[in-house]
Amino acid sequence: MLEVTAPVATMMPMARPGRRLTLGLLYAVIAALASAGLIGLAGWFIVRCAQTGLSSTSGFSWLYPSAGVEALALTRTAARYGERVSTHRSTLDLLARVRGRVFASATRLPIGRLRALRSGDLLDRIQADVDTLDRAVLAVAVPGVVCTAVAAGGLTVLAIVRPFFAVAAGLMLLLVLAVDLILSRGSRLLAQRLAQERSQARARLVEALDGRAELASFGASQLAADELRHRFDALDTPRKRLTAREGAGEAITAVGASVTLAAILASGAGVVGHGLDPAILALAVLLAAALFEAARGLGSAGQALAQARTAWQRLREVTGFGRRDWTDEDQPAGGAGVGGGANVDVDADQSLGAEVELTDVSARYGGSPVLEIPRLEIPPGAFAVLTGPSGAGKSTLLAVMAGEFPGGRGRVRIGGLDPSAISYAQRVAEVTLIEQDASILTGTVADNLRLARPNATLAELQDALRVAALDTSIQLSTEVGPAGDYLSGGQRRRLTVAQGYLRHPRLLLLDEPTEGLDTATALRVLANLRAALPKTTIVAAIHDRNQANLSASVEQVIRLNDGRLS
Amino acid sequence: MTSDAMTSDAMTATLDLAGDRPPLAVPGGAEAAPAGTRSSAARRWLAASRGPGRRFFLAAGVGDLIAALGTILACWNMAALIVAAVDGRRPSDLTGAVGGVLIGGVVAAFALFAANRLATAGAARVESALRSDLIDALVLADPAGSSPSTGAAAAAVAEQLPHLGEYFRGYARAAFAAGAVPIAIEVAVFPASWVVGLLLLFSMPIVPLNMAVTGLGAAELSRRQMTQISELSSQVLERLQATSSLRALGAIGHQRRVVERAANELARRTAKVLRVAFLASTALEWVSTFAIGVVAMYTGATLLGYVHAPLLPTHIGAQQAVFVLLLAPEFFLPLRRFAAAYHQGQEAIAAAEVLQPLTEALSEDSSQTRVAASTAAGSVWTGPPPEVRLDGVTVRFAGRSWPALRAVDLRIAPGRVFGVAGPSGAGKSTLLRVAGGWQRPTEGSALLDGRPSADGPRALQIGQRPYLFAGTVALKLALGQPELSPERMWEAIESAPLSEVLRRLPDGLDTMLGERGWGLSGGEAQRLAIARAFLSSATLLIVDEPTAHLDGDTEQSLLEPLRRLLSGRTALIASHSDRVLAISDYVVELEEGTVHA
Repeated sequence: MLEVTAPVATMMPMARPGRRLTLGLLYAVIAALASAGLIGLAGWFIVRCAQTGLSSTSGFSWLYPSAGVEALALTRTAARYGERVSTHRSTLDLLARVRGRVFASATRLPIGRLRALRSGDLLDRIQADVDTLDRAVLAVAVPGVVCTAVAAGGLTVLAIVRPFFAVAAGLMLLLVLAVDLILSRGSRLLAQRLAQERSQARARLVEALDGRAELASFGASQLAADELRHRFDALDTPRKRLTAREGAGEAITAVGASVTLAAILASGAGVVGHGLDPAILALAVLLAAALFEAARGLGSAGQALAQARTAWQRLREVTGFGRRDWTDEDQPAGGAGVGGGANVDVDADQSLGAEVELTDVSARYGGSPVLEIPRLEIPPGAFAVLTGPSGAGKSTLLAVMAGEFPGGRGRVRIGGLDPSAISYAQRVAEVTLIEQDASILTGTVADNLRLARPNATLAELQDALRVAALDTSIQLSTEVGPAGDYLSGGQRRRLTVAQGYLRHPRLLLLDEPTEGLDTATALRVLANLRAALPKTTIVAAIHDRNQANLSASVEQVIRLNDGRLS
Repeated sequence: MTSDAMTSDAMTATLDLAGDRPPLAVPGGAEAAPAGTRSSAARRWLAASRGPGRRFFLAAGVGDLIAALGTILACWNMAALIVAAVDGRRPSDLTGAVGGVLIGGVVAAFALFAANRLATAGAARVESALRSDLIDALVLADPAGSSPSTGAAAAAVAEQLPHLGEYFRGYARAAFAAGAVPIAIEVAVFPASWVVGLLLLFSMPIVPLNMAVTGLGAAELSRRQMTQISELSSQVLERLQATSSLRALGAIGHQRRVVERAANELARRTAKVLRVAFLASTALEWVSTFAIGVVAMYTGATLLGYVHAPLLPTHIGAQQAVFVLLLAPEFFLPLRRFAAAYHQGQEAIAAAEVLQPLTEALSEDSSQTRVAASTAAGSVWTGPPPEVRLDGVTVRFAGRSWPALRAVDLRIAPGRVFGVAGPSGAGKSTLLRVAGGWQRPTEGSALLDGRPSADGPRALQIGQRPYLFAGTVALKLALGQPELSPERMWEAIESAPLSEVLRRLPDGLDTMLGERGWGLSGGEAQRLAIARAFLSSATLLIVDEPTAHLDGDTEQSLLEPLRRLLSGRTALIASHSDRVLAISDYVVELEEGTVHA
């Protein structure tokens, strides 16, 4: 039971609009009770009228019950509107919040794990799985509360009328719920299959769209389109099965209702005249009908819960979202933590560059060693260049220095600190790693530069362009296009270098900063960087020997070969 | 609008298959939206796309009708049993009456179950057909044309399209039931009490009136919701793909707030759409409960003998009274469903306004592209090497004040390799893309053997940034050639040369690599892209900085394979490296978008 309610229970504390949800549940109960009362009262009223009319006895007031019927009708309608607006609104708000947090958790995954995941898969979890969570509220919690309230009230009234009625209705209700539960037994597997395949389909879709030019180039577009079609169509099978189960649950509730009504009527007809008022019989019958109407909402609860739990599990397994410790980093205390990254003071121009010390460092990838470094020192404020053939381990070494290679072993000290042991906020304030395939977001050049320093002045941004030797070819207001497509490869590269410069870190790590640049421009960028950041320790991986050797700014050349210093 | 007109309109909505009559125009009002033409095109498209599911929807409607008949049977017998109790006697046919309640109830339950399944199956068919077109349109789209962002396109397939499915599931069926079920119930009610029959009939026009009033703002609200769905998807995807860069820049917190804002905005817009829908159904519910109340009061008063008005009957049978009262809610149920579905319709139109232009862009504007892309040979140039000719080509990008290329004239003879040198940002990549048919010139013409380059088969690209799909190395090599023989694959691996790389990978050719070829270094990914090019039969190539990621030795080792790859094919090659440019037959220098010979 605990396991069943876990998603709901875990989400509740996040529901800041919890009051609205409670209100919604309250409205739901009022609406359901008013509805049951309305139906029961109306039945009682008509039979009473018939009785009075037939026997021509007076003393029955026609007016008050009629007024009661209308009043209950109004109450029900108003309460139902309140219920729908409140429960949906609070659920939507809740999901929006969950979405933000899942995204934040995903961005905290270790880089290696993040890269191994497909972005379309993550997108699917953030979109579809979070959407599915709403079923825990709307298809389980709300009908559950409604059914409980109506059953409690309805069965009490039935028991007062005739204990047999309450027993018959109660037993049938339990039977129906038990059958629903049995029906939903395989739903978990179906829900998992659906979610998994849906996610894979979306991941393939994202890849096919991102790689559209590649597909067209190799004549693989049609194949890819066919595969996507097939993948999305295959989702219909588990989806249809789940809906069929939901429909079956509802149909069984309806059959249970019919049987109960028939039983009450049959027994009622037999006992009438032996003390049971026919008007009361009518009330009992219609009340029982209302009771099953309320239970019908629970017919799909088993499937809904299975889907919501699957979604919850999928969100947790990837992002670690929902773990107890996730709040620690999430709520920045005075600018610390991931959330405060933007507020970290990056204006530490005065601070000295960090010293880099590596002792007995090794790293493996897929079982084979890619890095083996007994000892490496880079003095504070030095400009070091890392060279070596492609695949020599240059990128791995930079990742180790940045504390972004969790599989690495040995002692790494940046300015005396272990980069993989300090907080994210502290690390990004000390070290900036500009990767070889650093991304650019849609927007203007200024938008992208402000990612590195949100409160930078126009003069500072302009200065960053100058350092990256971009000031002659692009402007701050230039639109870069999706993923920077409007820029040339060299411009994209230099824009990310300008971002690194704007961080003013104590250690700046650049992976191929001059890739795609002609030698003259490359040397200018390197010289500008040195001049603009005189105290920062800079390590740049550059494979081009001309650029690596010719740059006058270089103070230390580190040669790597097969993961070893040479 | 009379109830008859309403009913027949609802019927035609299902039965009118030609689609020349927009089904959603039933209750006027909402279609007076500002984006009138776009909206009516979307309606036509929506109506025309119902085809594959229409039999299912019709059958589902019949199921609803059978369910209503079952309910009528159960209500009649229930009334008989109650009235027998009133009379203080055992009903003449106790088993018959109890059986009637049971059978009616069970028939109704199973007919509804079947109707649900049928409607779901029909909607799945319609959705599948639409999705098929949409996927074709997105994946086979003209690469030289503009296209939506990946996030928005993914949202179109995975999130906006299901709105249409929901609509067909609800609306197509509700439209039929809203027409047929009230008629069946009227037929049962009239003999029991014609006054109640008329009363119910007169309350019907409130349905379209209610929808017209509450539907007024719904179209615009739904449109805003759809826009935000695309927006959120784009923003989330772009930021997920850029996570490691954002993290390095300490920008995660800020970007998380961007995503949160987008998610909250979607929640807000969705809530607004829902509020209108709830308001509409509440109004309808209020009318229906009010009408049921009036029915109860009238039958009660008649039973009591209080009714002494001219023309009205002074008496009603008790069984008839209970029967009509039990049946009255069933009369309004399909109408309420229809009203709810009508609001799904507003969302569906908004979704269709997004999806229809995407889908039809393919079928109308560039049928040639579709033909080219769908032929087995693919869209690359595979015939004899073409002649490339550029006349006064100028290319401008949105948001950039100066052109990337200015009035470039160029001719490359068939089978020749043409080198392009020049500083970064000079327009080298743009020149290659225009010549290869991957970018339309803003002015001037780019011709391959005399035909506009962007209209037909185009060049095979070896780009600055190869895109490698998630999957095994072998799968990446065999892109577009699922039946590639191992011999040919190994030949290409030797030519690249890729064997060094494969030796390093734990499972060789079967090593799983992540999205964008993660697990390979930049240089290794590039070598894989070159190996793949060896497997293609393309005779026109554009090669953009093939050695940008590679060190001098590797570059040297690649020159000979590259020369072999390009020999006998028409090719353009851009590079900063003199050694690479030496492969070409002649070289031009590009500066600020202008050619210096």
